[in-house]
Amino acid sequence: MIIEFTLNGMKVAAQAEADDSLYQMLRSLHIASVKCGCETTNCGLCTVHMDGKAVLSCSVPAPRAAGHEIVTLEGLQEEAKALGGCLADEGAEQCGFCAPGLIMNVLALAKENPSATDAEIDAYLAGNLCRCSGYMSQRRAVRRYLAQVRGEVQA
Amino acid sequence: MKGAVGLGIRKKDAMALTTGKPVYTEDIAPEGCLVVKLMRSPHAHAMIETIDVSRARQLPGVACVLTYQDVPGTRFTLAGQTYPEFSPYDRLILDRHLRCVGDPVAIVAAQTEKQALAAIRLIKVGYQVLEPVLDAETAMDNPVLIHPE
Repeated sequence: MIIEFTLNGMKVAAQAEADDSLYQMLRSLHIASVKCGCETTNCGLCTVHMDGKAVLSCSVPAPRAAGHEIVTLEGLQEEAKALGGCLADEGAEQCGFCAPGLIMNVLALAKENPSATDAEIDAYLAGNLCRCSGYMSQRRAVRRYLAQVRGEVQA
Repeated sequence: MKGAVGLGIRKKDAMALTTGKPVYTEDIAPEGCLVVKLMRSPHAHAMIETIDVSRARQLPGVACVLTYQDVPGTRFTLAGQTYPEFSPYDRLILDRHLRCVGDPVAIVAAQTEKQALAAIRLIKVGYQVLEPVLDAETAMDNPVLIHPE
């Protein structure tokens, strides 16, 4: 079937099977930032935005994207650079495989609650697993990024 | 590098990683690459008695199905870094003897992931299920050998 939706601000028509996931459809469109870690909604690697909300693309059936607005890290390069710089400066990216999913979720958090406390950051990012650099450096990076979003510090 | 001690320095690949650039193998696979999937052991310890891949090989899109009968008999190590590596050279690419749940039983290459997975479902394996050895203490002086070779 052909599925028409908006991808990073552009109208696209993608070929997909009824049982394909949104993740599979995005990869077939050469969206390289979206990664698959577990395929069972446990790891957060495949996070994208659907109509502005963070969703796990491994568990959204591709046909459900029809008519909706999907945004991946490719469509948020400015924000990715700002937050990615914070992650890099805190040593929170090692293999980097979880970074795109983490960043998509942090950007959703920044929109919803830019004044998030550590406990709120931890709760919001509980579904983003990382197997190398660890969570303390990520939390420092997110704090630093949110302070930038609030205009308290310069990038 | 002058004056680098004590300074935080960004990793060379940091920004490519954190802006989602194509940097992993799957991201840069050229168009038309085959997809490889492994059939894995459901048993912690078993011997393959029979394995029939004839139906899997006939499935459209399947380019190659390999079993222990198709691989070189040279053992290698999955451990360590550079040569000389002192870990035991105990692996074959595929082995009749399966030593953990998830040990590879067969390798399938196909044009699409779905075809590869469908082919795996068509492989018929007869297992001789053996007694598993689940920790180092039980392994000591145990007549059950995980590596009889």
